[in-house]
Amino acid sequence: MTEQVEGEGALLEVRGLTVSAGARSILRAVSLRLEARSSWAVVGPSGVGKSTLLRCFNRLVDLTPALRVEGEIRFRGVSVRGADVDVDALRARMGFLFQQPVVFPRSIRENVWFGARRVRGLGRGALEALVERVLVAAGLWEEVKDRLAEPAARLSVGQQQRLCLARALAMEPEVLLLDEPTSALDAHSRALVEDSLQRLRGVCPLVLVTHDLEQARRLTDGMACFERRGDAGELVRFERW
Amino acid sequence: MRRRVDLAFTLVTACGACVACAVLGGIVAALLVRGLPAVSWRFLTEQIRLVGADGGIFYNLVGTLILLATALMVSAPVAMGLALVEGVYLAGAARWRRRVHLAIYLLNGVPSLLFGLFGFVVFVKYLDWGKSWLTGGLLLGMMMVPTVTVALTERIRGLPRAYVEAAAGLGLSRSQIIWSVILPQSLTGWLTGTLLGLARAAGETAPIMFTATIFAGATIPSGVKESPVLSLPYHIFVLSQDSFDPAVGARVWGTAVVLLGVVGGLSLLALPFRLRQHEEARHD
Repeated sequence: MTEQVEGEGALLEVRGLTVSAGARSILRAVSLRLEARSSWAVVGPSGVGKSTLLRCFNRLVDLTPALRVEGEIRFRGVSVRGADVDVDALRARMGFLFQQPVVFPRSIRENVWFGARRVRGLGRGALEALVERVLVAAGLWEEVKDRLAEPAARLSVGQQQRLCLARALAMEPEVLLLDEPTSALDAHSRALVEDSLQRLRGVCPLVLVTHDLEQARRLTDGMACFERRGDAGELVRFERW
Repeated sequence: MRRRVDLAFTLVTACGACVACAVLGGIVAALLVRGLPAVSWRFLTEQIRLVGADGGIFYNLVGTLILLATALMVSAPVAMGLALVEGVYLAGAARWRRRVHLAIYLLNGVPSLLFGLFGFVVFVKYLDWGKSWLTGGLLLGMMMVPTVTVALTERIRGLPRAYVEAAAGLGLSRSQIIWSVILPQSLTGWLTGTLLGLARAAGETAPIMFTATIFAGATIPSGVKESPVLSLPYHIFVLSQDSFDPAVGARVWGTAVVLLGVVGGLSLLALPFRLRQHEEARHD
């Protein structure tokens, strides 16, 4: 963290974050600072709260009312937890990829512009151009360019995950939050998704939750390592390679 | 011993099913045998003449369809609103959700005659509409609301959480999620509930007899006040009570067959959607 460029702020900054469900803690007293212009991995065993941390960043945790969140999170210097934060606008700035791809029961094309049409309010022409651009970036264009009107559910799981990546990119996010995006995929699909992410990390910082240390080394510049202490996950090591 | 209990249980359930089927079959057969000879193109397209002894039931059929169309339009927004309140807005407030749920079931249990009396007091007398198709449509619509709401709520609650999270993750607001994810994917539930509700509403007499329908002398309504319609169930109700003329008798049975056709048609329309729902439930 000493290599930080002068004048460059943090991408995400967490101070004293504790998440609990009733009496049970999920994350305890997490403090960390992820620099901008770099990509980061969050690693650790299952059930240590990695996904929960990611969901705190874009406040998807709000959708689970049973979770209590304490502490401070700043995204590019601005608190994400204030009462006056426009949560929808915040989420639109952060792309999110789930472990299992979630495609809507619509065509491939409509899935790609699902968020962009509604949130960014783009017109038809802009959307058509956007679809090609983000599908190319997600490494899916060649496979689907002739069947954009087909239902997205007909794609393989690996293709669906790349479609979800394209859908997130269509929002022109400032960061991509990736929640074990390749763990549900076969080796071939995993390699394709990784290729896309490898190309993207120069343009848009990644925060990658993963079990796979090798993958973390391939795709990111450093990692925050979590372990279970008692019932809750704690940050035990932070390193840059 | 256990096998014998098992066998006895199977027999009892089979008997129950047979009785139900026999009753349904008996009603349908009795109606068809007596009523089918009276049903003809003329019967469906002419208006009532000679106090039901001649002519047809054209305006009765039209009146019932007007009432059903109004009920559909009344129930849709109310039921959707209620289902969204219960399934989405109160998703985190279990106690309030139970209360709303209880209210829906209570509404479902209100006898149809009370709906009729309520409509009579409020619309016919207090608002001074007289008998009006709109009152009938409103009452039938309110009676349908529980059926539609329950079908829709179940569909909404069965919707995979991942869809809502994925849409929220893209930055869609709650209302955008409702319009682009929740409602489109619960449409089959709405349709099923609506068709079943309409099928029941089509045969209701009590809510409309003091408020919306008369026996003869109405055609297509042109306003709201003092604008009653004819209807199939009220036609049957009046003629079966008051007439001993055999020519009337055959027409009453004929009317019943047409009413059964409307109800059966609506139920059959709902079938493919219900099957699809079960199919999807099995895959989830």
